[in-house]
Amino acid sequence: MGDNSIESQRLARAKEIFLAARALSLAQREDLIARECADDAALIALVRELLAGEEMPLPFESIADDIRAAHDARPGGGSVGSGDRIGNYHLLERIGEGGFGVVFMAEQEKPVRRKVALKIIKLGMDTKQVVARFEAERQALAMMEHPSIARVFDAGATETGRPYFVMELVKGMPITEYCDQHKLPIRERLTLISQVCEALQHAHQRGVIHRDIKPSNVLVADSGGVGMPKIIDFGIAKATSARLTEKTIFTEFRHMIGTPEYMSPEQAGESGDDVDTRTDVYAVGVLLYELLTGATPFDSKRLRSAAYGEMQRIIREEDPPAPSTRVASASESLATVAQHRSTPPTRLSGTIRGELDWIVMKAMEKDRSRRYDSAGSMAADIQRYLSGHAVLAAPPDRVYLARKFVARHRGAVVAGSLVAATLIVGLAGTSWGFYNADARRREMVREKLRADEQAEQAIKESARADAAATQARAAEAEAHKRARDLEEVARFQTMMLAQIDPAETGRQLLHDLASQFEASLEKQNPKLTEAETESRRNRFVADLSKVNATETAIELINRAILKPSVSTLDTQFQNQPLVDARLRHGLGGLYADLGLFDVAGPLLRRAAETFEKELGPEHADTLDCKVSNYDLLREQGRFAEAEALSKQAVQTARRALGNDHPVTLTAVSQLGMLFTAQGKLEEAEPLLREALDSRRRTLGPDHIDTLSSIASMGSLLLAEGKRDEAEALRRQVWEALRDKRGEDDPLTLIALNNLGNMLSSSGKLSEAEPLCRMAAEKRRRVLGEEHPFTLSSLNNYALLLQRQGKYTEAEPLLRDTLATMRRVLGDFHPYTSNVMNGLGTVLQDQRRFDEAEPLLREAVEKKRLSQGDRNPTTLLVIGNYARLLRDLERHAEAETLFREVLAVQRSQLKAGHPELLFTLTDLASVLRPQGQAHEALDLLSPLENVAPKSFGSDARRLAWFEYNLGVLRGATGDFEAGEKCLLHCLANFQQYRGPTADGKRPPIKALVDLYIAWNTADAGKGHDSQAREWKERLDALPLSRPGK
Amino acid sequence: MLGFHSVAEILSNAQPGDERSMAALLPLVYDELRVLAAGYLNRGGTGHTLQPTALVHEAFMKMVGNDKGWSGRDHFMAVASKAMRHVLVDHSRRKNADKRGGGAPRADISIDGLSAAPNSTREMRVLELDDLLTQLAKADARSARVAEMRLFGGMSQEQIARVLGISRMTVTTDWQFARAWLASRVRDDAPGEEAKRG
Repeated sequence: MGDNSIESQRLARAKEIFLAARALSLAQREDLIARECADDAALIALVRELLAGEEMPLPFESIADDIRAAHDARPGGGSVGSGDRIGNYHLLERIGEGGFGVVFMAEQEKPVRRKVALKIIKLGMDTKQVVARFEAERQALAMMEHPSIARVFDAGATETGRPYFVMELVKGMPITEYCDQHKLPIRERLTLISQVCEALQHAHQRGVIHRDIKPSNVLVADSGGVGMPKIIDFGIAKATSARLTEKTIFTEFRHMIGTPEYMSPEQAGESGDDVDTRTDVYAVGVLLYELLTGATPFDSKRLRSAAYGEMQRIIREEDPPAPSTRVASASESLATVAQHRSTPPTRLSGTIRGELDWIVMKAMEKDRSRRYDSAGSMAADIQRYLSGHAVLAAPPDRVYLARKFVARHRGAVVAGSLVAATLIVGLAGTSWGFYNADARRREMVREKLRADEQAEQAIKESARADAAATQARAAEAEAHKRARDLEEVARFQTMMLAQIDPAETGRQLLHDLASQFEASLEKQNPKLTEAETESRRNRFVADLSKVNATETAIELINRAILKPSVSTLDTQFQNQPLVDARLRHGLGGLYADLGLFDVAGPLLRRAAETFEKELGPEHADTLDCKVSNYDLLREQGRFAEAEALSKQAVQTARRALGNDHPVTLTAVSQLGMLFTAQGKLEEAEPLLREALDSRRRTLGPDHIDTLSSIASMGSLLLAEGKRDEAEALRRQVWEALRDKRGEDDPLTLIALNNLGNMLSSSGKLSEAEPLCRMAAEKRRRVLGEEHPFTLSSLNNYALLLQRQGKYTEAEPLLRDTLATMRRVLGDFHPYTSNVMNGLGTVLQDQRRFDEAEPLLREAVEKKRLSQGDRNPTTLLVIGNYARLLRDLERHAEAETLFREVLAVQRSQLKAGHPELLFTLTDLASVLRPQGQAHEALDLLSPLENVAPKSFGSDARRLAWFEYNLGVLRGATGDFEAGEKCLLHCLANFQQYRGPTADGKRPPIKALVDLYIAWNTADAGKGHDSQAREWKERLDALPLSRPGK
Repeated sequence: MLGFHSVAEILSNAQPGDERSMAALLPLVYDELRVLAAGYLNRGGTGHTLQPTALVHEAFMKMVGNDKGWSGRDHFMAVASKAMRHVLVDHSRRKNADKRGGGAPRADISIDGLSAAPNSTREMRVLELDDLLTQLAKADARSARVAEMRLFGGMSQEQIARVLGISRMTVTTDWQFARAWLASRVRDDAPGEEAKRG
């Protein structure tokens, strides 16, 4: 920009003068300015501004210091300390600090006065996630009641957003230190470890895994000369674990990884979060190793100095020396080690060799299926040793050795997949939110599954049992409970996914890349002029903007979250077909929600097959899953297929489960929606009403299923032409969902979209506008750029723009949307043909008929094929195409199509239905130019009184009706009635289009024609002057678009 | 597409002055920067803790420890100061969007749209500064960058000079100029001063 460069030059000049003037006295400055600036008033002003600016405060000059100060002032930052308050807690004294953060002794005042330990997590944690994870775990934690488990009371966020945990205050020292300090002999050490195992068993039975067992988390307090171990930090590693995992995947920073010495092979694995109770068993094994030998299995220094990949390899592949070997080989330190154990050095190795070696090595097996299956059985084995019984742990056999060999080969595979993991996580580097959510979700699923495994057998039995009715019922109840649990999990999954913000993730990604590019440009090409740098940067940003960041993010989510879940399914649940099927069902649903129908299909199909095979065709789970399959078919526009199957499912469900069973109601309402979509309204109504009434009764008025029933009823009412009722219902649903699930929830957005559409199609454009916009924006953000729902909302918004006459805005939006849909959804998807239709009509509105024709023709073809000839949307598109043909003056063709539509609508809709009236009007409009004005008039005349009521607030269609009626009356000599119609029509156009002249032109022209004909028929009544008057008005109308 | 290397690789390969490598470290401290930004905007310090050490320095120290011999720090801070700016702006936009009811589409929020708001909160200061720096960069990119490193990164003149490969004197004059330019354009809270904006 030339202007810009002049400004730049002027500013550069001003800079020189300003810098020179700074050192001068005021008088000298004036001289300098006068001399240097000559008459350039702008330059003078600029220099004066700069000089004045120098005297003025710069409000954000201390921004960096302020940030620093804010940083120091926060807990866990520089200066938090005794006397400060966090929530209900009064900090007393700092009692520890580590890589995780700081620990304070604190006093709680309410509800009880007690001293607690308060741990503030330091670095890089997503507080909300951490606290949410903790909250999810709270109930389980509260169920733990064991003398060797320190209670965790509370978690929260400090004022500056750091997560903190409040725990029972334990006064003890790490178990290793305690044992050495008290010179505990081997047997007493074993007793302590056995107690630790029992405490872990207690936790594991309540579904809580510790995940970070290490000496500093196993404290021993001395009570009356007897050591009492106490495990601290339960629930904390888990709440913060996802973070650790991500860090470990792509950082080499030793202090960011918790404690590699105690890390199990599965934690060091590629997924890093594949953790179960046996992970704790492994860590206790390491602890015992250390208590026996004075060293960890793998040398700390070596682990911490190795590159991360190497460290992983060591943990996953290397076999540490058996404890007895370690003790024997550590000659220089043996004396100390032995002394700490009150054992003669010569005997130490011998004491350990054999059974203790086996116990430790069994606990530390690389393959967890070979470890003790629980902490309890490890405790029992230790007890067996202590009481002189043979231990269950056995020396390694040949199979064991062979397996080792395989494990080494597997290492190469692991290394390969790590590279991929690094890339994925690196990409997501700036937004961890969804990954955290996923880790938690997967974990939750896994835990529920573990419980589910137990129920599995019961479910199978119940399904097959016929005689033992009582038992079967009990099992059935259990099965339902599990199903509900899973449903909860699935809900949780959906909720977590709802919170993913692919757009934000993607945006951040682009931002970072641009910054990085700029930085590297400045550095690598120091000789570039500023303009060159600028232009290169701009080019880069322009290129970058072609990348769809949101799609990249969605792809990332798919790869990082969903696909791993699917492959987990493929490998992990071969022996638990029902668990497998449940998960497939859940995942299939998620994929369907993401609009990835092709992926969802096979998952759902296989789930249904499995359910049927395992539980029989009449089981609730089987039917539920089948209905999900049919839902997908409906989404795909495969109505006929879906209808046949759904009818059968409804029948079966009614017979096997009863009419009020939730699954029956799902099936019933699904079938109702299917009928609605096909325009089979009379069949739909009783079904939808039944589902709604029954859900209201059994689930309550604001249950999510009830709400969705209300929404379906709304669609039906709309299809039946009861617009006001439908609008009220839709608004009610949206508000209820918004209040209940938040305004960004996908369901809420469906409701919002539907409400906006409804208002828009009723002509309430200004009311509709903000809602349609909001729906499109939010969906773009929540669901991603290419999600079918987003595209649908964009289409709807464009439609609104079209209705407002903003064609120049609507057209490009529709073209983009159509291109995306063709690519993403394919040509046959109902949404794609909807947009073809939209774009076609926008072109038509601009009188670009030849461009519109192929689009609308294709839309009709695709609609007929995908949705069938009777589908209301198909009819609508056929109607639009016919109207275009009318514009192209292909009246006969148009007539055929209008008649086809009319025939179907007559079978579907009640007399007086606005769609019906609209089609009749259109048919009349093409009859007249074919010389059949009387026949046309016969179609419309009887409707004159019905029309205003039928069209309601849809002024445009009413105007169109009146226009045609008026023209036909004029053409058939009924001038007075025709005049009345046309004047009405004009008023209605005014109401609809406001100041836009386009709509008014035809009725005014018709009025002129009518007065001319009237004057001819009945001269001397002043109709000629009326004609002149209206002709003048017609001429005065601006032609809004050139070339029209 | 820039590759994402392991941190060890970055550190061992990094030459002093290699901002591209430094930039690859950014994701590691982004969360930290966000927390800092949120802390600043939510509560803020009074400015009386006048240690010139910048927070980004601290973030860096957390990453690489106290490796005194290594001079990559300046460059990392330069990148991080830019990141800090983005993070602050991002937070501020969001907070403002929240105040506007949350329903307003993010894309619509412009600096101009905010000037009507009743008082000059910290968020708006950040947005204003961001806006002004962007304007300044169009005319004098180097001065704007100096100001950015100084304001958002808290970097010393020596550090900035090293990073940009210019003399300290140039940094000084660039800063004096940028500071005066910014101060002359900053919106004063007193009514009637609006006209001052260019």
